[in-house]
Amino acid sequence: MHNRLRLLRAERGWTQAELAYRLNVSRQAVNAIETGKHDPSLSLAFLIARLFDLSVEQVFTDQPRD
Amino acid sequence: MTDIDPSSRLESGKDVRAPNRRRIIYTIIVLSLLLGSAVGVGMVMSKGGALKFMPVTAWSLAALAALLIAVFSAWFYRWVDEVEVKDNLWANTVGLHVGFAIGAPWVFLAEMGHAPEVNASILLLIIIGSAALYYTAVKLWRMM
Repeated sequence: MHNRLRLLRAERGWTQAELAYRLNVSRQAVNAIETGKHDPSLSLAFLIARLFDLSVEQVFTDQPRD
Repeated sequence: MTDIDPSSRLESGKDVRAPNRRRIIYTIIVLSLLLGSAVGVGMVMSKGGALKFMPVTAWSLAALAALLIAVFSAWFYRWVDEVEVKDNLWANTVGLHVGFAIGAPWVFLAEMGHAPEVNASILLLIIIGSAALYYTAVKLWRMM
């Protein structure tokens, strides 16, 4: 699964630690999601989308974006 | 997380913060450990003769335990977002399955006289070794 998490986080000027705080997960978890080495649970994926005021599909895709 | 300025938490983005699920996750892990310990004590008592099972009952319990572990793993592991916890859980699961895959045929072959008697120490080393190997491989993959 691919995602735009790093880009969205950078747009808001958040560090991985700050995003991790908001998501109530560890910074390592945020890093693993950003690098595509961990697919978040469905509940966390929805929370990430809600945090950025986007739909899940706008954050996560099954194919890399151009 | 103490380096975050509390005043900045609600300024950018929406006021969204996840509920803390870590307590639930760790409670489930502790309950699993207690259940696993109870099974271990039951097996030792069974071996010592304090608990008596029919062979069919014993194997049914073992099959049920294996099934429960598989179902529980499939449900719980997808739910865990902490990569460190997840890596540890998977390493233990891999160790257990390797141990079961080697231990069960070994028991049957030993009972038929085609293999030496099962050595618990060797089996334990195989379980720990395979778990450690998996954990190391995952950590190296995460560092890449």
